Amino acid sequence: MLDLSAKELTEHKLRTFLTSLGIVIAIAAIVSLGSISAGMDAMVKDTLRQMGADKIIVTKKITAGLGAPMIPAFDEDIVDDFKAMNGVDDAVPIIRTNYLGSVPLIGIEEKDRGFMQMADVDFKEGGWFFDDDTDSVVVGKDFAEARNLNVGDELKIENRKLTVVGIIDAGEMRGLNMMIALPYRLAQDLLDMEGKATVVLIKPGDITQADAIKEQIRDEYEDYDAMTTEDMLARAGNIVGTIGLITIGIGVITSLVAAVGIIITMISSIAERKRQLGIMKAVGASTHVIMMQILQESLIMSIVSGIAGLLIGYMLVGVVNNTLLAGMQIAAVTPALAAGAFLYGIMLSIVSALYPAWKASRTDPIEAIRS
Amino acid sequence: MAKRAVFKLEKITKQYRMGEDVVTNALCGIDIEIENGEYVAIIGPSGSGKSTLMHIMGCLDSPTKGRVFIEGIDVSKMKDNELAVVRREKLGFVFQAYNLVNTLTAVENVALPMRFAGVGRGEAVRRARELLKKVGLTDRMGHKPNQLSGGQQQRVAIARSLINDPDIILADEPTGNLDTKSGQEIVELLESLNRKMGKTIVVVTHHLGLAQRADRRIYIKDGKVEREERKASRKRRR
Ligand SMILES: Nc1ncnc2c1ncn2[C@@H]1O[C@H](COP(=O)(O)OP(=O)(O)OP(=O)(O)O)[C@@H](O)[C@H]1O
Ligand SMILES: [Mg+2]
Repeated sequence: MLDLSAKELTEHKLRTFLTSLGIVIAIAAIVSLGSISAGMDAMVKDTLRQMGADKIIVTKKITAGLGAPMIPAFDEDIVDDFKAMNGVDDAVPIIRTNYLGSVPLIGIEEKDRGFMQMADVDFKEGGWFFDDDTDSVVVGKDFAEARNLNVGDELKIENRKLTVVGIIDAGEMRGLNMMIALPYRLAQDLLDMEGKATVVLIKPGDITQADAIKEQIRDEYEDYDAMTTEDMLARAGNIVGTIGLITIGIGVITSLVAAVGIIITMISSIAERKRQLGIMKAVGASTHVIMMQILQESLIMSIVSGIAGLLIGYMLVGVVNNTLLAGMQIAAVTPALAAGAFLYGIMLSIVSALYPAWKASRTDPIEAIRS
Repeated sequence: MAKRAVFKLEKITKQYRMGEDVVTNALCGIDIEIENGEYVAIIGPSGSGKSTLMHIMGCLDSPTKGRVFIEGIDVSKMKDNELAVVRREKLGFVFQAYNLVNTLTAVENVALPMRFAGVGRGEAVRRARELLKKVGLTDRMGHKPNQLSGGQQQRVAIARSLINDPDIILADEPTGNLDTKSGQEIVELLESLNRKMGKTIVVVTHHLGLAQRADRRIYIKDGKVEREERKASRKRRR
């Protein structure tokens, strides 16, 4: 008797709205946070993978305090010390920072591009800059798409007008598709880092030596931090794991709030409808029929709220992509996530409605009739 | 029509317990037999237990002691859901306060018990329309209870009581909230259900006209049957 359930819901729009609100919020939260954390995870891992599995990454330790740069720079000559170390095949300085907070910006010399898997990369349009170019920039195709950039277009970085000379299409290597690359010297110049680098990438002669080299750097250079790509992936995994936990936590909290909201509003609605339910029982509705009636109301509400929640979640993801992620469509609502959240919402609302439905089915018909 | 007992009440008592020792004896040993096709009026002062008796006969409540047979079946020990089936299939109810569902239209209200029996909307609504026509509400089918007069609401309730074609109609003061004219219409409608459709009718009433038209009048006082009167013309044959 879906028509009767639907009628009951539309007769009491405010009550229906309040009952549904929790599910809308829960689904919107789960979908948006879920896809954002999945998108972040993919982005961080792609970016790291791009450095190759066998590298040691050296950075300067972040010094605490106001005004300390997020990514501290150091003298590029230190590379020579690393090169001289036992077991080191090669070491290169690069500039790596973030443009607009989240887009990786990399300054690298032509000879070093192999370190970042950039040597043989395909271009969608145009090609590489030269080391001594002073106004050239190459961007990944995702960034180009987000910014609607073509070769020959202008891109302003640190108040300097640069010209896009190439757009990279790295296929599956998504890290490259969403970065900005500059000639090494130009990056130093733009960022006021003459003679400085932010990262040194070290390639060991033999991958089995990577850990030993890392330990040695940690011992000998107190101000520096050394990590293998493996370490960084693990650390990124931890951070992403934490974000995932927060997502789950928020999901659980919003679910609880939604469930409690449903239970409270439905119980009060059932108290209000005591007379109606009693009459129904008096004229022959079984407990089963009443329960089904209430559960159907909950089902209808959850389907509508599920759709609303997905739409809101989808919009939130869009907002995050366009602000935090500089327009790149990194956080994506996958069909599996959307379907999962939708079904979860339906389940949550039906489970929450079980007790109110049971209570409704016990309504005493005589009470309704006597009044 | 062959006479057979549609109701048989054996030593029915009903006690309401309020708190530890406060006990109200609403019914104290009622024996009543009602035959198929009878038109019975139950009369008595306020608080004498008439409604309590009707609720027990109507399977809305169970007696504290005693047994109730409806068409030969003992319903006094039935479970809630079994009682719901009896209410739906064997009995029709008409109440003083009409007891329609406010959010539903006349047609939907009438169709309700049929839908509880598992019949689809289309079929139930079709039958509900027929019944509303019979009770003279052809032009009020889509009205909600608050758009209908008391008399009209009561006619909707009577149509509802007929939807599953029960043999028995129980009415508890059906004219109690109505003015003389619409009360009279309801009285005639109930009588025609008995005379034309052969329904067994048990009606609690203060309405003199209604009581006088009944085949039998059962007077209740203090939870007991005080006396009975029969109309000579339709006297029960034994
Ligand atoms: N739920 C209840 N709890 C306690 N006492 C009750 C309950 N229902 C009825 N009673 C008592 O049982 C007795 C019979 O009540 P009942 O409603 O059957 O009377 P009635 O004959 O229908 O009266 P009226 O003509 O006023 O409708 C009354 O004394 C009433 O107070
Ligand atoms: Mg009464």
